Amino acid sequence: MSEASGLFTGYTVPEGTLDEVFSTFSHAYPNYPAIRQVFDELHAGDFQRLNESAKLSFLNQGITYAVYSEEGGGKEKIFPFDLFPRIIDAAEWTELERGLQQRNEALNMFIGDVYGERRALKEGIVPEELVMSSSHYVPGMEKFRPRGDIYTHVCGTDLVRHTDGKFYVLEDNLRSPSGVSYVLSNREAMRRTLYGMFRHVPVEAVNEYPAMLLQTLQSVAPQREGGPRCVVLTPGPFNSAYYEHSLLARLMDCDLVEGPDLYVDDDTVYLKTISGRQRVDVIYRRIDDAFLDPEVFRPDSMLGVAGLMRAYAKGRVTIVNAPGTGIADDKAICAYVPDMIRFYLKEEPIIQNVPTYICGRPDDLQYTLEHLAELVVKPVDMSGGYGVMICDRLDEEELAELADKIKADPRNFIAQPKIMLSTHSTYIEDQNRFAPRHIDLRTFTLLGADKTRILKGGLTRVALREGSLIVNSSQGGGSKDTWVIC
Amino acid sequence: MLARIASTLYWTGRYIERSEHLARYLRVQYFSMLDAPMSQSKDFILKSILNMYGSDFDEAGTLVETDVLRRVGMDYSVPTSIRSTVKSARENAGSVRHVISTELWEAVNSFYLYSDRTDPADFAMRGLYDYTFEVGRQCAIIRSRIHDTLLHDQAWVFVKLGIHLERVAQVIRIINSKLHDADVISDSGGPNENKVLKLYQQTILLKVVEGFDMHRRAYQRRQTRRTTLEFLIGHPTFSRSIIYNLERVVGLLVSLHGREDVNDPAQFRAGKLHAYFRYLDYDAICERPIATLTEALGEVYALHDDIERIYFNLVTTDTPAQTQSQHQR
Repeated sequence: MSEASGLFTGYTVPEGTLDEVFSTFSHAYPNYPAIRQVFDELHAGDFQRLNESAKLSFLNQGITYAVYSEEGGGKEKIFPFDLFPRIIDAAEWTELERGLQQRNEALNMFIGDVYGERRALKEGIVPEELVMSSSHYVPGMEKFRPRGDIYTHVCGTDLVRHTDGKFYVLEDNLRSPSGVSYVLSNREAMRRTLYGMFRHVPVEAVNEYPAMLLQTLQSVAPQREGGPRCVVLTPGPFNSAYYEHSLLARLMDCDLVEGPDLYVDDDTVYLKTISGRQRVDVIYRRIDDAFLDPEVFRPDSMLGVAGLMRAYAKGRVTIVNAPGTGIADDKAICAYVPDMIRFYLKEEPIIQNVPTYICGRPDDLQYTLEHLAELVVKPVDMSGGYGVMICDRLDEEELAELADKIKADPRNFIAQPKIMLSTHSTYIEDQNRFAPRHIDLRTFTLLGADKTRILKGGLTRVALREGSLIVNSSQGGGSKDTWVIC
Repeated sequence: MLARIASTLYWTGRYIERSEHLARYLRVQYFSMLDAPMSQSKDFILKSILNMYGSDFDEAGTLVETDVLRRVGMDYSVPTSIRSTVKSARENAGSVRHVISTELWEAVNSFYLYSDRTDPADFAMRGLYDYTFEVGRQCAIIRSRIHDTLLHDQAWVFVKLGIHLERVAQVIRIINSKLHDADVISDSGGPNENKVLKLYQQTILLKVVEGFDMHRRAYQRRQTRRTTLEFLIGHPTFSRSIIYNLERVVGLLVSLHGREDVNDPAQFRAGKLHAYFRYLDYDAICERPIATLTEALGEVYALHDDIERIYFNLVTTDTPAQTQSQHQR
């Protein structure tokens, strides 16, 4: 008989880091040692085989994404998946759910306010020029009230656990947050590979998400006989998130459409089918505002539908998420969300923000420039980890270059103290052992006209490079199944 | 069903079917070179292979075997190579992933991954048999997934329509290619040698469509040019015969339209083509088979155009399916 693998041999938690598996903190999951033991009892090679089997399962299912390169084109890759689940206990999750609901409802009210009465701007809760200068502001949304007053039907909130053991909000994603397909696929991979674990740990299901999303879409559909018909609008198979678009359409039993599959006639949106046209009520769009309607946004867009905004303004179709929601997930706006919660809901924020310095504000700009080497600087309108600068890794020349960029366009940057994201035991293939790697958590909140729904769990993203704090898949990140204990 | 989805399903079926025929043709042709009754010119076989793949070649130059094999088997820059065809099948299936079953998608995806992982150098030196054999095996798995895991609804009809129409086109092209080979050979040898070589070409032809054994059963071991053509064109229960597949095409078009209707241009053309082959005068066709079949192939392409116009013409942009349709012939 072969010896146990010793997959945790040499596991060392870096100083000043909280490790969710090995460190002691208030919400630490008490049964991690038992899970660890399951892995540790595996014989040499067994874990490697399980790992290979999980990878093959992803590859065969075509669960891949494209990475864009400067040379052009995309290369298909598997989003690395780690078999050690991240576990969140029930009490902590309940509190997080309350916080997510509170935050996203406040953000939704803020968007409605900006395109409506602008109370928060008039009362100085959020600086008017910060909102009005956002490239995501859509004048066509002014005075328009979408069905149920819902703008951000699908919200992706990124959380990180700091060394104090508490979750903080890193950023909000209110346009087309992606990643939920990995939540569903990761759980499926875990069930196929390590099914024995589920017998011992009561885990909340995640496979209800497509039904929750469909209920949310249906709740905001225009009322008519024979409806509602919901569709998922994708840029097409070459988009990096196409697998997700396809999966959600399939699991919701909706049509997956591309722009040219739709057209607008008499301010009504129709689907081109082999047996004629069929009316569309709700479009869950996975394309950016800029491409939605060439009559209103980019005239060269081939991905959208001419006349869509006219149909939307007449209330004949619902667009999910509403155009113009990007004003609230601008990274500079994130800093004001606690004040929004107090203003609109008269409550104290349940989940705190990572402190944010808005370079567009003179005081914050001065602080940022004076403490640049200690901060993390991010462009306000980029996602996917692109443009993030971790300044203590820059040399003097690079710091000076960054400072010049910030001074030239302060509105475009925010700075945050370097939050030491928690780590989690992650299998490192080339070392055939577990090592601590930094993680975050993307959660998914659905705001419907009837109720708010929150996926119990989320996508734990892992920065696979040792010491790296950037978890995005496009920057070498992987993911883990996230278990919320029932 | 979305017009674009219908088109993509149809092309998924066509590419799957096409990859199998291309692989089988390559395998049988190439290995026929090794066990021919008398030495056939290697150049002759390689030119025949290039012809079938619709690949241009320099008539005067000497063909390098490994280059030809790589070009028709592995070269992604050649749209008619086997690998390109498998890739197109997978791209199309990926675009309709939400409409087809998980089992079918995973079968197509595994097929592509296998093909993509194949080392072109190894393929050209020693892996040709394994690769082309595996292509056939994977296509058989995919066909069973189509049959067993899809609802036999409109989506299924479009995939099957693609398969059967492609099979008609490929079988015609294969027959023509081998008849052409036989003619070239018969011009170059003495009468006895010609007889053996011609018979050998007919055997290869039957093997290319995997009909050799069933032809023997159907004709009690008698094999002539006429029996070969009768079997491949008109056998009512051999699933690779032209008549068998045209009958399916007609049935599928009727089910799409909802009823038999001669005013439906696609049904009309398919029915006419079916009737033409059903009542074919084999004495006459044996006189000028290549010209007859080439005309028929033109009608098959016209039928494709009818289907595209009637069912897919709502698509106005250059989708992957449309782009790919431009190099179908």
